[in-house]
Amino acid sequence: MTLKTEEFYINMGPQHPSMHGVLRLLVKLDGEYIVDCEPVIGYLHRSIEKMAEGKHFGQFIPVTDRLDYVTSMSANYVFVLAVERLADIVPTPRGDYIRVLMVELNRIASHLLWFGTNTLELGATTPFLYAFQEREKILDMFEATCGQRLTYNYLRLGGVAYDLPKTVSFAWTDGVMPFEKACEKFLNEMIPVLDMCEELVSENAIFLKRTRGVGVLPRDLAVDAGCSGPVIRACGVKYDVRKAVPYSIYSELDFDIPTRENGDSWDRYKIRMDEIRESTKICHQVLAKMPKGAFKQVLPNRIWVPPGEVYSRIENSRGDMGTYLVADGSEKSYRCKFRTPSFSNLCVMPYLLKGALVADLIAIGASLDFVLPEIDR
Amino acid sequence: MTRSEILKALGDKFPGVEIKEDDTNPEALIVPADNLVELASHLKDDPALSFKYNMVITAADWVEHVDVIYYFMSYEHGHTVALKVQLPNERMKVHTLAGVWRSANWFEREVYDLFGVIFEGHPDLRRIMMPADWDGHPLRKGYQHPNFVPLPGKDNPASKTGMGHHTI
Amino acid sequence: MGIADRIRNLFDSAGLPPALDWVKSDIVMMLVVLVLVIGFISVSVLFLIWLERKVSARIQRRMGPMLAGIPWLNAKSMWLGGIFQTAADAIKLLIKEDLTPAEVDKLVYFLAPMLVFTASLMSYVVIPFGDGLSVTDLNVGVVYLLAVSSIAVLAIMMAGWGSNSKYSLLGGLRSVAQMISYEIPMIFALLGPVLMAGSLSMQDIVKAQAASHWFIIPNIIGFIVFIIAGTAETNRPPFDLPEGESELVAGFVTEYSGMKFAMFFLAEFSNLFVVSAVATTLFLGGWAFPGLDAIADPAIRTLVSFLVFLVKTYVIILLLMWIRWTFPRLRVDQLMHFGWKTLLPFAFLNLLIAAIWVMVSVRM
Repeated sequence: MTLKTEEFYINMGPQHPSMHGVLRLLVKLDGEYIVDCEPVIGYLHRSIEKMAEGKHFGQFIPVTDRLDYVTSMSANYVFVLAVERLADIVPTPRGDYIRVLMVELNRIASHLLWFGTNTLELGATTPFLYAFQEREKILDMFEATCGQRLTYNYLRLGGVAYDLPKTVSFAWTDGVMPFEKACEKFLNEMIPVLDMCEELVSENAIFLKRTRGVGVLPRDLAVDAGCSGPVIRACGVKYDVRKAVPYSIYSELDFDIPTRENGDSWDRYKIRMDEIRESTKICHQVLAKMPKGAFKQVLPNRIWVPPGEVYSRIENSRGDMGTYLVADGSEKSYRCKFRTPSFSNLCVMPYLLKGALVADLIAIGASLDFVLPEIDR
Repeated sequence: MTRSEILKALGDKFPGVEIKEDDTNPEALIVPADNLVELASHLKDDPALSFKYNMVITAADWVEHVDVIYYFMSYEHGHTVALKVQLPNERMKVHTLAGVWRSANWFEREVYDLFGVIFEGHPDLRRIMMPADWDGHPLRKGYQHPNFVPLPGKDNPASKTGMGHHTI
Repeated sequence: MGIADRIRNLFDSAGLPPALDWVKSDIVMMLVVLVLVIGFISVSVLFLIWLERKVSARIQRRMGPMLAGIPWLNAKSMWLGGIFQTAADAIKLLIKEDLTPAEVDKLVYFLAPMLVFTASLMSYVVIPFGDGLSVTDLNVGVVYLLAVSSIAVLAIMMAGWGSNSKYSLLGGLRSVAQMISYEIPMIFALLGPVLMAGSLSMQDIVKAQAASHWFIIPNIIGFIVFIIAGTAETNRPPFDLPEGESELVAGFVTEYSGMKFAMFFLAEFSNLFVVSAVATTLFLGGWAFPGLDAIADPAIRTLVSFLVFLVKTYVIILLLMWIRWTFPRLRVDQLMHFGWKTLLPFAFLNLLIAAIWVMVSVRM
């Protein structure tokens, strides 16, 4: 006699403690197993791309902050890179180096936030606080540099908005220190804390049970669905925009691209932890080689860009972020489209969730590391 | 491969199809809408081209026509190319690429939602950003909405303060 | 000898006038003991909640409650700050609006929190707090304890069903499945010390340990099994999927607010104390302590035994708290696999070891 079961829908609605923003998941369950899942997005759609058509380029940079507020420097960067390519603006050397330092620090901050929320959603509340303590130090440094902790509005056409501060004094620096020394101090002190967090989490039997073999993404599907970043590097595709199409000074820097084979949640987790270490390497090199000079090209507030189209790509914390910019000769963009990695990473979620348990949904969603502002724009 | 080499490869395989290099976009090739699927499938399947990664599908509104642009990249060879399709207002339809690349599914839904381009054969063509019952396609240039209000400014009689200037 | 008898002795030695002899009657003694036990539980739970918050805060490199306490104590020491925080929270919960969702099954919904606290309260009857300090010394104490803890399972099922909500029902069912699955390894783990003491009475087990050695020595596996099963029984992390996992909001307590929610919360901490107390009694020697017999004065001896018991129980409590804040949680199916396929065989192994030990020690 077969048991008569009924499939029912659960709505993991836009308001949800662990949905990384306002994502709605319509999940069709058969008991504890997920039969199908449909992500519904658009709850955070702020028509950023339409706004681009009404603001001139300099005015639009603060709006790009809100495009991905966790890695706001990268969001600024992708737009600024596109405009610079169209208008043939070359950033100053010091500006270039400062940009890379800020972007990499932001990458570390974003991965720390991801790490904290990932373990928090799996139930381990303690690593969340350790990660956030380190992230606070990065935010302190950002606050000293550009006055903001989250949405920086720091990059400008031709460089950055302000120079690095000469000296800083935080609770975690002993007294007043030059900014570069404070940054080095932070990087050196963060690695042991990261080691401690990894020791707590990476080989923990319960964590392994929750993430090993969970959410396995086949390589062909990942490539076909346009996934990028740690998601695709976990499947064995060793691709990083910083190495493949080097922009800024990345061709002069020495760093690795962590790659893994299995494509499950644990691999994605480990890659991001390794990426934090690679970013610290980059930051050390940048601080050692930082040139002196102007931090920004002297440019007028509004610039008129010759007509043309460009597609600029950078490596965001979440993957391959791009800007398709169409300029028509005016001071505003004619069409500005942001290609965001979370959008493509999210569209494999229904595939990953088939046959998984509801508790896995949280683990898989956390390991994909998507943020809704990027998806909805 | 450079853009002209890709153009040559496509031209050799599909002799009757008119493919042009785009002047405004250094990576794009303008192709006719009717041949898009066969050209794109060839780009993906041919081992010398091997464009397995569809990076983005988006559109730009040029008032009388809409340009839909598809960016592709190859992991093996590292080259990038874009295909651009120009759709006049009267016939904003093109066949879908969702059967060729899975990523095209959501990208095309977004272009439909915001521009109104119909992708024939798409398995699930409905709005993705805007609510399901929304009227109109917001990213078109002539889009009007009853909620739009003019900003206050000294040129605007609706403004009471007349302060400052505005740039929108 | 129980608490009631000790109080009667106290009255006798203090010189009670004959007119007040009714004070020593059974009914009055019952009420007095009831008030004492409930008082102990209340203070204990209030203290435990504050302790949990402090321990978790220090593990997470932060401070925990610091303001709601005695001002000079707050300022003097981070560890002792904010001791009245729980009282403030309890008062807040008491004065909250008592929302009842529309379509609940009224009897079941209202009865569930009371039942869960009652089940917890009933366990305190057999716990040996000290030398001659148990409410009553049932000669089937261990069995009684296990039976009473099963009432909590019923109460949780009632809460999940009565709330008339998909999420509560799912949470309730999962919780029930988990608790039933982990009761069995718990029972078998407890059988080791019972075998070695030769009695089911809690006070007898303690006296047996006082006579020889703490029963943790041959039963170390059983101790670990009991600690794990105890954590699962009280629905604490890493086994708190039924109530903690984000998609279920709060599991079976989703629809409860105000005092009813407080009841579930208090019952959880009360159960924590019970589990630790049972672990102490059966594995760590209870109130027994090597130098205890040397103390001549019975009143002092009782007091010292009580303190020893408290210290040992709090060691176990701190261990359980430490485990809570370190590990992520197990998924439901992994939880069930672990309980049935890993823990139960180890519990059997422990029983075997204890049996062999008893056999060998009888021979010698």
